[in-house]
Amino acid sequence: MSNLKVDKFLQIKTIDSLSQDEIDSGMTEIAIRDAFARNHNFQSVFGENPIEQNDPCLLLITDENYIPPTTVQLQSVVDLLMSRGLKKTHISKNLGINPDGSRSLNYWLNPDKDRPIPYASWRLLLAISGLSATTILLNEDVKQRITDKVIRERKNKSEALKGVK
Amino acid sequence: MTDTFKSIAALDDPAFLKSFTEEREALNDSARLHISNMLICDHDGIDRGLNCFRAINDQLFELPGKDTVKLTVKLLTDRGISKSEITRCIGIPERRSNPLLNKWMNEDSDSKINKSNWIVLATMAGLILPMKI
Repeated sequence: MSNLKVDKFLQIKTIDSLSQDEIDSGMTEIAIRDAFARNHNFQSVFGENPIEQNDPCLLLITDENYIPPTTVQLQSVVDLLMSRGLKKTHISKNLGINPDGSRSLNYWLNPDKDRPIPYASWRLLLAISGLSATTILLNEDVKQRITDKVIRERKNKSEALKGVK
Repeated sequence: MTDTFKSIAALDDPAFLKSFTEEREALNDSARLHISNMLICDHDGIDRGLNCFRAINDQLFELPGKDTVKLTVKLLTDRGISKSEITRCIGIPERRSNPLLNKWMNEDSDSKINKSNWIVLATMAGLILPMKI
């Protein structure tokens, strides 16, 4: 099998050393995770979500337009998760905070308290609710190279399809 | 609020269809890149089988050792992302950023990274991908 040709930053080595079974199970895992991600992304874009897709609280903190969520927005996301049958203790567990009495979560949800949800917990909450996802962080050069490559491949594919027609 | 989806008729609106398609393609592209990186790359020797890479609600989940935090940060700095940028992306206020990150990596420090910061750090490094539950 030929070596996988990829960008150096991805640090992918050859797959020559892998057995066919390992390759097959790896490919199956990629397909499963890809399907999960597509489902997640579909929810983000096509769902009647409690927070509009262009709301500033869904932006990354590095975006100058980012605004932390209000307690009302936070409550709406918690409500969405609870409507799926999750309890506050489950949500707390999935956020890595002490589930006993959901104290931290209740504290963040209380408009009278001045302790807002920390950003990392907010991102995690968005991820588990399917409203947004955090993905691999790349610098702009690498991101641009990948974007160019994807656009090029899409163009080639569409031209090839036109050729078939 | 329960999970409901927009009516399929929304796709008849060309403006919505365009933004929907663009947004979905962008999300799928980042997810595909992330998943490929996560599952195929060798991550500079980081073992993704460690308990710190399990789901956060998994009974076996545990916080990473200092060495794993160090390697994870290195994975990001090797991609040209500075330590200040890393902490900014986790949402740590600037005045606390670098000292705090260094403490999380320093064997002699008692300060350990907390769970949610670890999950976001490992996600940005492309080692895990938390998704809808």
